[in-house]
Amino acid sequence: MSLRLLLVEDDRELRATLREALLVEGYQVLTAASLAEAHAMYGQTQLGESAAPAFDLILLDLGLPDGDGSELLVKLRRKQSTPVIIISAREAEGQKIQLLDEGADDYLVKPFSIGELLARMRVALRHRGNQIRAAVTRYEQGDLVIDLANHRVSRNDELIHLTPTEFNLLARLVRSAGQVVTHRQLLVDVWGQEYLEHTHYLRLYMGQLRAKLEDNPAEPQLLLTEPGVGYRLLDTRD
Amino acid sequence: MNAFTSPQQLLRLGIGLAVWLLGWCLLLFLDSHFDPLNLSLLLVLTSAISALWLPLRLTLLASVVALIAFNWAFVPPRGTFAIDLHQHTVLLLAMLVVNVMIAGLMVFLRAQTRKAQAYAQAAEELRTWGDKLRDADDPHQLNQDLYLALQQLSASGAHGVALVTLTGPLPAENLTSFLNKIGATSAEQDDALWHCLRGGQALGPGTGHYQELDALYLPLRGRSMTSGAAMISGVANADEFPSLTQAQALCDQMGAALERHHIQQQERQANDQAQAQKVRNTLLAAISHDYRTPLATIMGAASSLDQQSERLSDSQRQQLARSIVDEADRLRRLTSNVLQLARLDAIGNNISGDWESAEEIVGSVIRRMRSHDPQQRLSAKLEPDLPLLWGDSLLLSQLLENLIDNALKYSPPESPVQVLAYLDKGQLVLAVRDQGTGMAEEGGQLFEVFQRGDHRKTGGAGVGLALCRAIARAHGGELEFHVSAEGTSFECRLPLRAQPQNPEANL
Repeated sequence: MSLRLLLVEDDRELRATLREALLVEGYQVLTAASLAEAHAMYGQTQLGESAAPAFDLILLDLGLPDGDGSELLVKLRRKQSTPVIIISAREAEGQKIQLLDEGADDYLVKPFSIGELLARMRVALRHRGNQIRAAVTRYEQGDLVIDLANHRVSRNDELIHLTPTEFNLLARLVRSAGQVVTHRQLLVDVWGQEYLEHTHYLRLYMGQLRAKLEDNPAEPQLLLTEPGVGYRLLDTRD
Repeated sequence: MNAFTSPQQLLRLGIGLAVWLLGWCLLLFLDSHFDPLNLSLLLVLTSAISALWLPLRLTLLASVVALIAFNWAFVPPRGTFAIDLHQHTVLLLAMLVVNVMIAGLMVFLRAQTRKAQAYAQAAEELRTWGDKLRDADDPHQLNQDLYLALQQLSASGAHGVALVTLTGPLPAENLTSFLNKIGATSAEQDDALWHCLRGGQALGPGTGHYQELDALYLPLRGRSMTSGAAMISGVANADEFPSLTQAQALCDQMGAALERHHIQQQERQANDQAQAQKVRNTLLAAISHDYRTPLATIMGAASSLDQQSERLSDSQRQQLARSIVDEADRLRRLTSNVLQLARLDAIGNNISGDWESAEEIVGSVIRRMRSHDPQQRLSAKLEPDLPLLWGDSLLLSQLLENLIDNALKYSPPESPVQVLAYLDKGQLVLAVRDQGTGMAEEGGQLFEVFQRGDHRKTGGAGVGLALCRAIARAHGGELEFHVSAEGTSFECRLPLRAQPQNPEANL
């Protein structure tokens, strides 16, 4: 059975274009043009299949005629973990970070290419699967192998030594490989709540990790920076 | 007899009486040498001289007493008030008339002189005050001076002075927050000050309005507006404050100066607005010009796909689609530049900063720019162990993206473009170097938003560079550019801050 998507977008042209493109990719696409419509859609399908989540993924625009898309995100997150990708014309980093911290899986600023959207969707869907299956413990990209279970990082079978903090940071990124992890999430998960303001720790340790793992640290290919938001470990299938 | 109470007046009285005393001593001394006729002239002289100091009434009284005494002492028969000869009667009467006339003239003259002096002094005071006001950049700064001048006018010190000036346009309600105030006032006096300010009319004794008040309220009037008011308290009637006219003149000069200042400010604001409007208009013109080019390409490619689809080969269709994507991306960048420029214009230097690493910013920008760089012209060279910089990474990324985009477009095809980060003179420098030399002739105007170079084929550099400069400045830095025979270099110089504490190295 094909995956079911809910596309919440008020602009008719963009909605139609995205719907066509996603249909071509084999997804089953339902669309909503407003918050109320999205709620209704969600309620209806929920009635039919009460046990399973109504959709496999939601693409959510923020500026909707009857409210802000983030309201739907917050309501949704109280009940379930359906992946949500925000698509919005708003570029302010602050909001991006807030939505990611509130549980959005990714954030795409309009305009974006279909290729970019599909890649982000693939990552988000894979991580949804992870919550049911075992968590990611192994990351392979080129010569590099990161084995979280055995605390081993190697390239061409050659062991790379990492300090405990470096390893924890890398492990956090591996668990969300392909997804943006905000500064806040990294600082809280690796150092602890009281280190929220210490963004400079991240700069330091990411620099060290890149020096050890990247071929050319000046032009990183694995440990990617999302300026002003956070970091993303390259998706293994990209 | 309060006319004789001040020390100055007592002194004058003393001198006048001393003159009389001296005159009489002289008379008595010369008695044996001269006849009464001559002595009488001495008496006239004494009377005239004493009139220089004594008030009119006293002078007359002294003259009459002196004549009677003279009659008693010198006119035969001596020791009596009787007069022997008719000629002596005539003499004495003539002397009396002359004395009265001289005394009258003297006192009149003195009064005239005093008046003239007072006028001259008042005029001088007004003139220097006027000069001061003219020289002042902001007459509001001279509030204290006016306050002191008014205090000086109430010389006896029996009067309190207060001065208020409006800090902005006249408010609808009487609120003290709109006023700049010197001196203490009661609530009632505040009300009167507001009334005076709003009416532009002097109030209080001697002004013709609200005569029953116990203070004078003088407006600071200009030609068409009143900018403040002064209060001189403790004035029960008009006589107690004779310098009313002078005080009002001082106040009016201040009012005129304040009005002039107000008008100048309005003019300046209007000018600024007009200037800003002009910049905005040119900016809008530049932006819409820059938008047209990619839009034209998109329109052309899309309409070709729409209308000629069946006649196009697959590769042609592919190419048209590709150019739509590319040009749309250019529009995206352009839009983002315009938005950021507007945002920076609004927030000024209040960027939301964080500790950022130059390596990371350069790295992420280069990765993103690779898609516009199929020939791998782009390379990065970073000094090792660069300190962290404080700033907005999104803005700094945008700055580098714009500079790199320009370098790729405007330097010779296939020539390398280098991104550098290094320390120089205590500043962190982010630089983009290429081998183009086309920017040379544009000089300092390069960064002006609307001064787009003649790169009409590629377009869009004007807004981008203006944004780059705005970003550098918002970070307390500067964007410089250098052109030499080898090429062009854009350098964003950013100030360094004290570095944050790093965690334990062994963690």
